[in-house]
Amino acid sequence: MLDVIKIGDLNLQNPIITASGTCGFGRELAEFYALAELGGLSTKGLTYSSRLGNSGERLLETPSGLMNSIGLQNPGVQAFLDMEWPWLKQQETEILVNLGGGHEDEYIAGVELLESSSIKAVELNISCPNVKTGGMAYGMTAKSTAHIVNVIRKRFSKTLIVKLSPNGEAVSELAKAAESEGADAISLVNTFQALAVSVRERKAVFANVTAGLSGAAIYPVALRMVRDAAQAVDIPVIGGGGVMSGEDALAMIMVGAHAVQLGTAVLLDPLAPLRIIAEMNQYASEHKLSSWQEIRKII
Amino acid sequence: MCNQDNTPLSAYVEARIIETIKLTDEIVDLTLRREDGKPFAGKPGQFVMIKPQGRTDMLGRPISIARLNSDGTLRLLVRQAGKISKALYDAQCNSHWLVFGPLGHGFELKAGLRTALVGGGIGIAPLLELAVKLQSTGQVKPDIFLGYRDEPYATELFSPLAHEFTVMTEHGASCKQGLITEACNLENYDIVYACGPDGLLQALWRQRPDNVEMQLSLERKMACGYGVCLGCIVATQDGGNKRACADGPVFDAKELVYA
Repeated sequence: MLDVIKIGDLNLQNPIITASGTCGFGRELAEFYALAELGGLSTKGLTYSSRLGNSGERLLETPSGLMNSIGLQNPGVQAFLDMEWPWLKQQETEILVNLGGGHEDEYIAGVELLESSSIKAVELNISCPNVKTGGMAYGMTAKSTAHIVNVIRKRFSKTLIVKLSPNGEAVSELAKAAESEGADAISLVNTFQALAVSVRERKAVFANVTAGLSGAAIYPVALRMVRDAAQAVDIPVIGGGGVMSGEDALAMIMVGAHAVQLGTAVLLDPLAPLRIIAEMNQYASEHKLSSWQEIRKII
Repeated sequence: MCNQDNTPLSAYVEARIIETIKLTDEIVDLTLRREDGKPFAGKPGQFVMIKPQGRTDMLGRPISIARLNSDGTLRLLVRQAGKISKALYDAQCNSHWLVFGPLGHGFELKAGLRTALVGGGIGIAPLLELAVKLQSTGQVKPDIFLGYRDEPYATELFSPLAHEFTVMTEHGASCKQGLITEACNLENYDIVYACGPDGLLQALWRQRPDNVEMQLSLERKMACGYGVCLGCIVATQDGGNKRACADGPVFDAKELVYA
């Protein structure tokens, strides 16, 4: 058995975390397997108030990729705490509560509710590309990242993971900004801002014009960015972006990730996390690893 | 990526096409058998996600269950709409596919009622399994109304299952022209089951008498097919929305809102 991975107060039994927006609040995956099989689960992105999400097209498959414009559809933090958390906290896996917001006050209101609850960790989403006033603005520059992390850190005493945008300044600078303001860990990448046009209709496919690109298509770029971030900070990095296989996930660890998020892979197949964990364990066994540390940040 | 398909850690099972019949230049009638020898399962109105074998990096496509045959095989009626459905149309016998399902909530079968089935275009597909099960489990022989844009297809599958059988086409020549929603007098029924394009379902929804139960199966683009991505939402009466994949694809008309 390999070592437990520590990220703040979280103890992950394995490096695989299902990414926000690809696993709801866990109930659907629990129909297929016990969530204890996962290292962790990051909830659907929450905002203080409920959101209906975007209208119009929400999905478009591209070569080895998926564009989405869901728009942070969620029931709101309080409804999550009332309706989902009592069940979710009983699952034997680590839960990252993903929190987004439109503006600073909304983030503050959300995190204050979470601070006074029994949740252990927040993944602060400052990188959603699909809502107009949607947090991504905070993730675009090191200065604004530092500001929002500072604001949240003052109000949240538990494990704070900051999810960085791949759409702003160099991720190394964003990562350093989050670390300097007291983040316990960072995660990256969120989806890449992308565009699709319907030539037949002579208009953008998505009502917001742009949408977020995920899937295997983004993996090599995400891997480079995860390395950039891991080289820049000493806090743990959770890597992700188009990971589809155990090899992809192992490479994320080799460039410096402590844990690995799976997003589109989970949409492609709810059992993908188990397959990827099995593939990683097989590698660890074949190479007689006793700790993921042995292959971490070797590139 | 291909060698990953050998792992059993997948919700998709391998299946082989054992029969393919091109019904029109865009509709194909496929029969698939699971490679593990197990029977396909499901209920009328449920669907499967299907994609070519070896494409673990590709989303499945949601296709309604048209028939669950007694020999365990699965019948699908597929209309060419994009690349995967075109590949299904062109698929050869013995080609291998990956199938995930059954998914979603299907029709709720009710016996002893005056029953109509209304299908539009490829939306006729789930009504076939429904008509078979209404007869075998509820001794109901419904009136069946099928509407097509162009020439009708698969009508011979439905006619033996219908009490009254009505086929109409918008542009075709081989049967009565017009909209199928105009041929069906909803007042004559206690329950109406329907599947088809939004226009047809919207027309039925608007015309629905208060005392007629209506179960509508909606078509939506999907990514996951099992409820997590929120890509296939449907507007509901409470001002919110539901997921076509996991809460549907069949909804009680009373739940829905058409703008």
